[in-house]
Formats: sequence, C-alpha cells, structure tokens
Amino acid sequence: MTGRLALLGSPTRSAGRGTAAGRLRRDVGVVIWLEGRDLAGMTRRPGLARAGVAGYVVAVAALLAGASYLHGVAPLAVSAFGSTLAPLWLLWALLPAIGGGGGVVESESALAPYPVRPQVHLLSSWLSAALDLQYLAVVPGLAAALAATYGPAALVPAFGFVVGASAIGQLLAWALGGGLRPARGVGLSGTALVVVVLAAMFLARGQEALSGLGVWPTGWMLTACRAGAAGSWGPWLVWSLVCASPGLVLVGLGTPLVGRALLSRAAGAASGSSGGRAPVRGLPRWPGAALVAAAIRGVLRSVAFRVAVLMALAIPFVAAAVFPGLSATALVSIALISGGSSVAANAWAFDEGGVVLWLSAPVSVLRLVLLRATVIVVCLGFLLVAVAAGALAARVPLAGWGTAGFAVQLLLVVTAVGLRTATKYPAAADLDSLRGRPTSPWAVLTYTVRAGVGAAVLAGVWTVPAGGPVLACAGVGLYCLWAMRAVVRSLRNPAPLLAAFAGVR
Amino acid sequence: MPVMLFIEGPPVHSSARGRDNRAVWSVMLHGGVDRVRGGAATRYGEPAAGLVLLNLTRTFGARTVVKGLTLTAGAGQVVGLLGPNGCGKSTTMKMLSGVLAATSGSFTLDGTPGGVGALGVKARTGFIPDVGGLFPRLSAWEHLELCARLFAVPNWKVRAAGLLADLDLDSATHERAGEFSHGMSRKLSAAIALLPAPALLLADEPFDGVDASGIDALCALFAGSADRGAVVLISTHLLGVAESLCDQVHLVRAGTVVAAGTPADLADAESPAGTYERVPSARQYAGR
Repeated sequence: MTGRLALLGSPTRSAGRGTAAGRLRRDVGVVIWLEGRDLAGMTRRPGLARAGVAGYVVAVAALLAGASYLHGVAPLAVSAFGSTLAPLWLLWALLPAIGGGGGVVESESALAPYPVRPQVHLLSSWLSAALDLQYLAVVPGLAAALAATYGPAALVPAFGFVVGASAIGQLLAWALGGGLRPARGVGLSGTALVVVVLAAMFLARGQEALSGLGVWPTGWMLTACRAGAAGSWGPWLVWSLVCASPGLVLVGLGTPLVGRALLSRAAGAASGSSGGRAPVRGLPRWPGAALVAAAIRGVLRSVAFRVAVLMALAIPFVAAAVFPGLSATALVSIALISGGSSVAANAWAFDEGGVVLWLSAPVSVLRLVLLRATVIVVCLGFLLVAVAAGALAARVPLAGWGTAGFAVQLLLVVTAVGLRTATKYPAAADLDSLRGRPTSPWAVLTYTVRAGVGAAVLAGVWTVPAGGPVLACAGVGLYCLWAMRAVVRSLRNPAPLLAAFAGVR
Repeated sequence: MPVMLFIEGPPVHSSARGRDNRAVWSVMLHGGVDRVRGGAATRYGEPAAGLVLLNLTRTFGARTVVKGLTLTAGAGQVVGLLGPNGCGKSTTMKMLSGVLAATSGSFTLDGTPGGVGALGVKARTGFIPDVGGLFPRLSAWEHLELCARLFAVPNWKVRAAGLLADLDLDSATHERAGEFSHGMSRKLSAAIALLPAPALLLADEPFDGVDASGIDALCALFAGSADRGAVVLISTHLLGVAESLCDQVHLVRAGTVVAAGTPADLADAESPAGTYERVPSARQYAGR
C-alpha cells in the first residue's frame, strides 16, 4: 500500500510541456521503444531479437563494404535495374495504402487510449513499414548491386528512392484514412482504388500502362547514380533529393493528415460500425458442414479476405504490365501464395476467440483439422476465381486444363503449408484493420519459404514428360498427409492456440 | 490474521440453492489440502454420478499452474471455485471442457472419463470461457444455430429465442458478436453454453462485466440447470453471488484446493491458512 501511495504522490510531467526539441526527442524515444516492443513481441525472446538485429546490421554493412570494394576492382555492369526497381517502387508505394506492412504494438487503435501525438503515430507507422520484410529482404541486395555498379555514392540516391517510395505509401494510407473511409475500411477502400486505377490504366494504355514508372522514380535514381559515378556532385545531389522529395512532403503534410485520420477513426469508432448486422441464413444440418459454413462466413466477412480478393484481381494486370512474359503457372503461384499468406497462414486468426468453440465442440481433432482445411481450400478457391477473372480481363492466357490441374495441386500445398504454419505459430491478427500477417517473422518466413519451394518443385515435376502430373499428385498427397498429421499432433495440446486467442499462457 | 469478509454483491435470484453440505466444511476447514485429496467422493458419500476430479495437474513449461486438484461435485449441485487471480481456476475449467489437455490426473462425468478426445463427455458439457468463445463476424443467432447443430439440440429455435430473451439479447439477435459490448459477449457465451442443456456447465467468471439484471438472469439459469440435475461449476470473484448461488465452495490457491465447504460455513469461519484475503469494503474509502 505504501508503494502505491508513494507513486500516487510522485510528480508527473505533462505531455505538452518542454521545448520543441525536447518533444521531438521524447517522440523519437517513444517510437524506438514501440518498435523494440514490437520486435521483441514477434520473437518472444528479447535476446534473440537483439542478436538478430545486430547480425542483420553487420551482414548488411559487410555486404555494402564488399560491393563498394568490388566496384573499385571490377565494377559490375547490371542493366536490369529499371525492370526490377519499377515494380518494387510500386509495391512499396501501394502496400501501406492497402493495409499491408507495419507492426501491431504501434497501431492507432492500440495507442488510442494514450496521450500520443500525431507525430509519433506518423513516425512509428513510417518506421514500422520500412522495417517490414518487403524492405528488409530487398533493400540490402538492391543497394549492394547499385554500389557494385555505380560505386558507394549510389547509396545516397538509393536511400532517397526507398524514402520516397515509402513516403508515398504513408501519404496514401493516411490520406485514405482521413478522407475516403474512416475506421476499418481504409485498406479495403485503398485496395479498391488501386485496382480500379490499375484496371483503368491498363484498359487505356494496354501493356504500356506502367511504363512511366521506369522513367520517373527509377530513372531519376539511375540518373543520380550515374552522376555520382562520373563525379558530378551537383546533379547527384539534386536527383537524390528529387527521389526523396515525397519524404519532405510527408514531413510537411503528414501531421495534419494523421490528425485528420485519427479524428475520422475516432468518429467511426464512436458511431459504431454500419456493417454489424449479419444476414439471416441458416447453417447446414450436419455438424461438420455447419462448422465449415460458419468458419467460411467468418473469413468472407473479414476485410482482409476482401482485400485478398481485390489483390488477386489486380495481380494479372500488374503482371501483364511489368512482366509481360510471365507464365500462367507463375501467375497462379504468385496469386495463391500471396493470398494464402492472408487466408491460410492466419487460418485460426479469423475465428479469434471462436477457436475455443472449435476446440470444445464434440468433434474429433482429426475431423477438426480436415474441416479447417476445407475452409481454407474453399476460401483460396475464391481467390483462384478472382485471378482467373483478372487474367481474362487483362488478356493473360491461362493455358486451359493444364493450369487448372496445377492450380488445384498448388491450392492443396498452400492449404497444408498455411494450416501447419498457423497451428505451429498461431498469432492474433486484426483482420479487419488489415494487420493481417502472422505477427511472428519466423512464421512469415516459414510459410513463404515452404510455399515457394512447394510451388517451384510442383512446377518442375508438373512439366516432366510422361506422367509428370501423376507424379506431382502423388507428391502433393504425401506432403498433405504429413502436414495434416503434424497439425493433428499439435492440436492434441492446443496451448499455443489458446495462448494466442484465449489468453492462456 | 487474515479475515474473510463477504462483501455485498449485486442482486441475485431469489431461489438460493440448498445448503446440505455442512458436514464437508467441518471436516475440511482445518484439514488443508491433504484432507481434500484422497477419495473425496467416498468421503462425501456421493456416488460416482456428477463430476469427479482426481489429482488434476497442468504445467506450462516449468510452471505448474494446477497442482493435483481434487474435488467432487454431485449432480444437481452448483459448485463455486474461488481464489485469487492466476490460481488456476480458468486452466482447470479449460481442462474440464476438453479444450486443454491435463498434464496428469483425470476427471470423470457420471463415471465417464473426460478429456480432449472424450467426445461423449464434450457433447454433454457447456462451457463459458473467461476469454473468447465467440466468432467476431458471426451473429448471435448464428452462434446459437452452430451450437445447436454441433450438439444436435432438438427444437433449438424456441430454446434459443427464449435464452436470448432471458438474457436481454433479443434486440441484438442478428448483430455480429464483434460489435457486442463485453457484458453482451458474456451473456451470449452463456446462452451458447446453456442451449444444449448440458449435464456439466462450466462457467468461468460468467458475471464479469454483466449488468445487475443480467447477473440475476444468469443466476436463475444456472440454478435452473442444477435443478434439472446438471453439475454447475462456477468460478467467480463476486462473493455475494457465490454465497447465494452455490451449494459448495472450493477455495483454490496456487493451483490446489485449500479448503471447501458451504458458503455459510465459509462465511462463519476464519479463512484457514490465509486462503482468501480480506476484501476491503468500499465504505473504508467513503468521505476520504
């Protein structure tokens, strides 16, 4: 009691006091603390997280030093930067608008009860997005390739390029949050807008729809790199700043945009959601079918799934514009694996607390697993239909029954991989505000690697003359059996699931 | 010296349960854990009917949350589990519901062993979890329909509508559970658990966040379940409600039962071995 009273009597400092520099220092401190919590929360082992960060930084530094040294002795002559960087810029610029990326601890809803300034929201959202896998996995390799080709001076325009793309993403996301649709529909509105714009550009300009991307941000950066290599420091600096200019715009306009988005969100939360009513439709009589139907309804009604469908629609358009020669099997693989990261790898997260009802139902564990797999297969099937529709609209040839057979096989592989990942590394995810990825980076990595390897092996075996598809079917069947067995074994002691969704440690 | 003080609780249903287990408390009061263990069923003279927990244990890593918990609850009894936060009540409930596997020990319902794979016992059990239990994007009615399908409840629509009306949820029948307030979610969890008229009703802090009339309605439904022969196991921190509703109360500390008896016995006696801390009355802070 004494301690409590002592704390009550201790002096407190108002959040609004202090100089501007002091406030900025505090804000940055809060952001760094939040990011640290998010990272530690993902791995659940702070020591491992610290070691991972240190290892990554050392590896990147060594890579860049090596690339710079290589440029000094035998410079590379990479010519494919344009075709690589244009889709990357598009990805980085659009992903926050469609709800991807970012951590969980620093989400607006989690911070809403605290006296946190808009600047903290903005900084933490920007930093969190930039520390996501789509940056961490790509930026070091890209920077090293640029440094090996144009010298270490190319790192500055490369940094400006990344800052600019990520700033565009933040500007779009916060503008959508404050304007188009408050509260939980931001990602859905953003995705719908992106799909509509892409489809319109494609219909108007055909396969040249995105060619401007190769000229604008990518072209500016490459101009700066060449200027740096030639020792023309004026143009080098100017073009680097041009690349990073969206970042300056974000610094100037970000705070009012964030303030407006937070107000919109609070107003939306206060007025309640308009989509709270569910249509009255009966469930099938057979208990298993009723469970499957209920779970499918839960997935279909989530914003994350609707965004995944829109993405599946958009993928053929982007693929046709950026990679004109992409095969049908590659297109299906991209769509299924990316859709599966939302639907399959979060298999249990859609039910949230309903997981307890699944586990307490008088249904055997084996049947539960098969029913859950059915749910995933059906939902991924919707994504396949969306890809096919997008491909038809974008006039991407799907090559008939051969692709259909491959798609079905890959569907089973992605289901098995996703269910295995979701059961082994379960994590709650707010699938209505689109922080829908599994929060553990290990889970993301496991899912992506397994599904990618599965797709590659399947594609390889599928094309084997004389019995390739039959061999692939047998392999897929064996893998699915193995994965289901592992899931059943995990579910015999579902403590991790309960820890993620029902508050049991 | 620790003193147990029953504070005034919210209004409860008038049909308070009978109190016919006084003998138990007289044996248990100063006996501690060892006396509770070792064939509680025979000591109480109860048949195997009802719920029997024998040395139920659950560990999470190196931490043992439930340590050899043993208790008996006869058919038609409302049994309360009381104890401080983190003492293992919810984990016990999850093991009994078949959601979580026990590390060791066992339990039976009417002589049938229960557990994760015991579908027969699961089919006769209703569970109100302390957290979760609802699909955020399904409506209240869809939850009840799903439950009816899983537990093969005959004539479920009439019963479901009645439960929703009793719990004042009828105006939110087709609202999604994700839009419910905390108290409404608790009531819906209770309706789902009660719909199949289970032989074992497990209610883990069912009154948490529920308004006074809701607590009254829940108490009436729990008492009604016991009256038709169900075992009702409730964990709660509302001592007033426990006193009015429960036939038998088990005090749990650090994962084990440290005392058991009727609420009246507990109210009259000082807590053994510091079982339950003194609850400060709000009046202490009045006029500060």
